[in-house]
Amino acid sequence: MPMPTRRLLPGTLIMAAAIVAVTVSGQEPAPLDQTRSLVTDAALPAIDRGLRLQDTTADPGDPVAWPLLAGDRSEVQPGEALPGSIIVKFRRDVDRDVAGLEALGRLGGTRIERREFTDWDILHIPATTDVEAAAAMMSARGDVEYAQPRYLNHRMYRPNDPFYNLQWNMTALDMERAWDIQPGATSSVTVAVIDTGVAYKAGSYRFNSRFPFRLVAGGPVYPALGVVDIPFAAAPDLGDSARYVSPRDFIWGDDEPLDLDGHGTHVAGTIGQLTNNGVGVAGMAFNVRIMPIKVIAGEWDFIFGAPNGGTDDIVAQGIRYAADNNAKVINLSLGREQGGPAPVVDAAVRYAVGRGAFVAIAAGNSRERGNLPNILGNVSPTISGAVTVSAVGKSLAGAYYSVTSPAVELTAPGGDLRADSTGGIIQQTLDLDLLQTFRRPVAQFGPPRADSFAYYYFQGTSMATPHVAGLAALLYQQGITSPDAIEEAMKKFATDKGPPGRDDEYGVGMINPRATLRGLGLAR
Amino acid sequence: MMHRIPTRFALLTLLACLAAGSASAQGLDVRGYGMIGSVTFTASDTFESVVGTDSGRLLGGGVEVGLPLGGLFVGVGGSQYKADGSRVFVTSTRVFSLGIPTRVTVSPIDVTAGWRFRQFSRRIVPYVGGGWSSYRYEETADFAAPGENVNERYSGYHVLGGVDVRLTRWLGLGGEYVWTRIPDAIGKDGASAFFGDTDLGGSSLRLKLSIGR
Repeated sequence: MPMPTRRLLPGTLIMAAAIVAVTVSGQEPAPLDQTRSLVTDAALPAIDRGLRLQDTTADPGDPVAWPLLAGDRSEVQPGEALPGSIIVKFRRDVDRDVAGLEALGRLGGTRIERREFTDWDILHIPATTDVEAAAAMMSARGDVEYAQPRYLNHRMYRPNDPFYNLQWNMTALDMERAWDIQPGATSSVTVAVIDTGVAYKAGSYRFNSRFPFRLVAGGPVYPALGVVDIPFAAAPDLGDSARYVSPRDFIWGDDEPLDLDGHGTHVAGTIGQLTNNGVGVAGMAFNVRIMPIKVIAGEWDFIFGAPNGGTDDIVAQGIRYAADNNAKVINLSLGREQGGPAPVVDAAVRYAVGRGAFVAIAAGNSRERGNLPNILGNVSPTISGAVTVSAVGKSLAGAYYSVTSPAVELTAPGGDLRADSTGGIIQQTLDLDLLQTFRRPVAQFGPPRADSFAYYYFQGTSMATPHVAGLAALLYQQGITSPDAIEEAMKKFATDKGPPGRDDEYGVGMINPRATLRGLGLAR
Repeated sequence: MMHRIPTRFALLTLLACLAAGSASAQGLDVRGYGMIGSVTFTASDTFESVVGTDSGRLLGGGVEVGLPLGGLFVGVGGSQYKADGSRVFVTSTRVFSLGIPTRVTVSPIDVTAGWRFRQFSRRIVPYVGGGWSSYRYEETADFAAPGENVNERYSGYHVLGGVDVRLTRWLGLGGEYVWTRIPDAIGKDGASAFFGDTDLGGSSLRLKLSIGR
């Protein structure tokens, strides 16, 4: 179901301000605007290109490279706020319509936007208004619970590209003995992967690449591709369609959270990759259902003019949607290090925990870039049932990129490819060689394929977090059915690391799935 | 396995009674007894969380010898409590059963000295006593690695009081209350550590059928 206002969101700004008009190719399917359409749900079988170590690499500590689209949010980098709108949550006893209109008048705004799975409003204000100041002004009002700019979030890894013997992370967590106790949970447990989408279905989708772009300032300009049909396939090692429940895409505003990035599919693999099936690698909770929720736009989503970006309100919508649709565990391998607090996300996390969902949040990868924690994780120490997760490498020492912060509560394997070229977290995801054609020279640039898969080592707190989410799913199946107790159990049985007791690098320690699942006897 | 130990106890009790009967026939004040009882553990929260209840059946038997010193007697008895439960996770407000089968076995041995008050009646004899207790505590659970199951012995003490009713010259029926304290036996780990329970003892009501004088 498309969201009613999607065309009026930042994508409109993108398109309206485009400065270079490029003629699309001569194949003439009806021109699309920034929407996408299903061409056919029939598709060739997925291609599995195995382990790929040769593809493009990046460092999880590097700033995220966003496509720079002429005249659009090219100036809006993760952590920065979208201009022209703010998030406002009025108090319960306040008439939202009346108060909203009054506030609009004060701010010179144009309209109030109210979406599904929200208890807040988006006030559209002049693009030239300082959104930080506007949010501060609104926050100071007695009828407002919170107000904040629409900060842009991003996934918490950078791929450092390409089976069970390569999964040192599973060995480090003693998962074989943990699975003896709880063999992968069951389909009664749903884990929401709130991310860049998941490669969960096959089909051919038509997109319209209408504007040239460049990846980095001063870099080569890539041409618009025009109307293109992109083949999609479900990741073979994640299983069939029965595994997925309530898919939702808040970036494109529909029910098809197709992954055009690879991050979400990799994260989903660590949580629930099919195991003991003779294919590829293992996942932590390999029998759970996956709820793919797309709230983060990858490069291709931007290139194709997706109507939404991964702003705080979009992330919060995804969290609330997951909770309302009975997800028992929510994985948030995303966030931002820049910008102000995110009360809209904080409230959504509280809401989700209140609805019985355990939430795992990535701590952030900026240790070598100012050690700025993921702002979305800051709330977790105040919520029993939500945890922020740092990362360790293959040596089980803190990963070079993993932030240290008071918000860190637990640690898990996230990989460290600087210390060991096989020290990342391996999972199957989209074949980056055929997906990220924007990393090729301009002359070789072309439409992506999302029906080819390979196994890649990724690293980041994004990769650590799904280990915790997977364990939460196992614990839920084992009988610990409240988020606060799941957090308490994980912490009680965590293996202390670093200085005795809790510390900012490892929290209370590294998750210990077997001990946690086994719980307490009478005397031991 | 579940039924072998009570059978063993019944057999031992029978042997004790036969020996006591034989000894009594030779003029010694010796009796053997079989016992069935109900024990309620002091560590009630701990037992309730793991096995669902803080009380259970106690089966046992023993021998008592009356000394030629008024009502003084000494005795030694053994018993056993068994319960099946599940490993758990506990928070301040809830107990979450993890569905991992767990068996708890407590096997007390009590050495008792006491006094029988025969001056009131020859048929109905009250008595009191106390002594040393040695408890073997066993806890086994599925998925245990070597060293994770428990098989330990702890010591403590007990006091008791009861009444013995002579049904015939050789047969008696008695009831007694025993309070036992086995300090620092539990509480270092597991659910007992969470609840702060350290005492493996408790109170028990026992019905004893004795053979001998």
